[in-house]
Amino acid sequence: MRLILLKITSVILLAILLFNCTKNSAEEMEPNTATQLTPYAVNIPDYFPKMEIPADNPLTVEGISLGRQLYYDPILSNNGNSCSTCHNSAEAFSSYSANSLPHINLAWNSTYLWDGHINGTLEDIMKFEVEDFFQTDISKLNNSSYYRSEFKKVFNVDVITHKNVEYALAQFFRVMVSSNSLYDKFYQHTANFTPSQMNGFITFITEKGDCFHCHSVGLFTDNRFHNIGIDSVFTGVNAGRYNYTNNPSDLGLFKTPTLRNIELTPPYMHDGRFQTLEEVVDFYNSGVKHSATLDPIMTKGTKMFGLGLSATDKQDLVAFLKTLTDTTFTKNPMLQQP
Amino acid sequence: MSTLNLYTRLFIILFITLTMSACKKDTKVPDKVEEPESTTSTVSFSFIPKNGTQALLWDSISNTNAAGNQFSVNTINLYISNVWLKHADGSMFKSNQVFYIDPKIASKSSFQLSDVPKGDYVEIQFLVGLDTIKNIDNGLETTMDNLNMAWPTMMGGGYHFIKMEGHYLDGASVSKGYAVHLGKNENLVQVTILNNLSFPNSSHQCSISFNVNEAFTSPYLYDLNAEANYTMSDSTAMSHIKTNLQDAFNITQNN
Ligand code: HEC
Ligand code: HEC
Repeated sequence: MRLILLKITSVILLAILLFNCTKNSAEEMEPNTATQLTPYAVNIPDYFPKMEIPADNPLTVEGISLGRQLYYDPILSNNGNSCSTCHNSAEAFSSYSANSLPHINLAWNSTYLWDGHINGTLEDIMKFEVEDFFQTDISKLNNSSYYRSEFKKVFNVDVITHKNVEYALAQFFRVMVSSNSLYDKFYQHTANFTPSQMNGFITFITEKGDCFHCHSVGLFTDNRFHNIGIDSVFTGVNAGRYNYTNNPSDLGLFKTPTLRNIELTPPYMHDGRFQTLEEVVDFYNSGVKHSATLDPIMTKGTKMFGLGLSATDKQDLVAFLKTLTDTTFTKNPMLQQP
Repeated sequence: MSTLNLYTRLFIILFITLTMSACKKDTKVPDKVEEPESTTSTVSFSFIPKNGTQALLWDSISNTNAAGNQFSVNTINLYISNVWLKHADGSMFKSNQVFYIDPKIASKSSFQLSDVPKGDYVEIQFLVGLDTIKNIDNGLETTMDNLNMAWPTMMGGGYHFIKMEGHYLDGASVSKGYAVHLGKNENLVQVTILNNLSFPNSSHQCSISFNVNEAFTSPYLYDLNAEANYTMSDSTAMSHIKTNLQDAFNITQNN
């Protein structure tokens, strides 16, 4: 009798022990959802900063693929546009006709759009794009059995929300990494520059051209705002960051754009006023206009309001800028229309 | 060993396991209750730019240096590293940590030393910049801030130690830009401040103030209209600013 009692109690205790533990490990598995998702790690060179990925939106092969489908699908808009209408892969995910900003290495940004009025993570800018800019009608996605099952797979949801759409897009943006240009190969000593490209690089990286103070080598942006003197009077869109902050010291300041793939993303500047890189370099060489908020870096000693570059120096600088073109990025199969 | 014994043992073992530890994950026993009192203090330092004795007004041409230049400050970015604290007997606490400081951004305007031995100190030393071991290309972790501080390889490599940028009024009252940038090992700024600091408790708070006017004042009277307003490739200008910066900092203990 006593033996049986002990036996039973032991078994019960053992069961409780096991049950408790299994329950706990099941909890640990969260946020992994019903179906098994495949984690994805982005390949990033060591001269890029670490990529911050929010804990509630880990990268998965399935999530990235869903983001990609959404990027190319006009279902998100009410006017037939998809993101890709104005962000076309061959133009480094920008568009000449829309003069849109390209989608390159945005995972390292913390302020978005020319005046920086959206701050935070890619999830935050996607919230703006989906809910404010596109005003996505979420019922269209919920009416699609295809998307319902895709979102179920990735986010384990029965009803799709704007947030789910934004999270999938943010995952896709995190794999839009460009780090395989001729410049990168030069930096890693696996390719050489021509003398002209080299001279352009020297102009870029020394005080001669002094581009590097804002287009910091690596990502070729400093993620900050500057008035580079394309205007001296600031009205409308040309007031830049001031339109968002109302701070007079922000008059004419714009986000420094990355120069990666710059050859593919004309026209140039926030309003697309320059058609070619030659025009841009001419501007930096001799067209800078003075104003109270002009960036201190743009006004230097004897070279006040001009760099004094020769015709050859200017050509070479353009030749260097073109070494930042990365067609393995624009043609990356993972980023193309599915 | 009898069967009865086996089950009794099993019962006891299971019972003990279950009651004592259950599943490790569930037991959140506070493990720091009765620890012996720590012998170190966490000291935080806020970095406060000043115009003389006043708080600096950013982006406004409201400062005047000893040469009479009216100037503004838009940007101050710097590294503070190797903070050393000296006891009266000459022994020192030496940290070799590097802190990137941007006083315009709240989250980057202070730093902490978490392992300062409790006690009294008579002197603080630190570098504005980086020692020679760290001041090489990729000597620091790749972060956006460190990328922005990189000093081009072709100009010597490593990092900017400090960037101070703004505008000043020239002789004709036209505003021009200046960019005081220091880099290269010979321009490393060693700051030594004699001051009594007392850290008896587990946490303390100090302020490091930086008087921006001092960058242009002594021992070299630095007139932005006469000297380089852009220092990066001017070794004389950099060495003057370096020397001026040595006494541009002060420390006060707040608690
Ligand atoms: C009608 C054209 C158009 C469409 C469609 C479009 N965009 Fe854009 N996009 C732009 C323009 C123009 C800008 C720059 C606007 C600005 O900064 O003021 C921009 C900027 C951006 C930026 C900011 C990039 C940076 O460097 O800060 C992101 C991110 C972005 N778009 C994502 C999207 C997404 C996601 C979609 C689809 C949901 C989308 N865009 C659809 C035109 C478009
Ligand atoms: C003071 C910071 C700063 C410096 C120095 C600087 N840039 Fe820029 N650059 C910017 C900003 C900000 C913009 C965007 C301005 C706008 O749209 O109004 C820009 C725009 C550009 C563009 C157009 C990008 C696009 O996508 O439209 C190119 C090309 C460019 N810069 C190249 C250079 C070169 C070459 C140099 C050196 C000769 C240089 N920059 C120096 C901050 C800087």
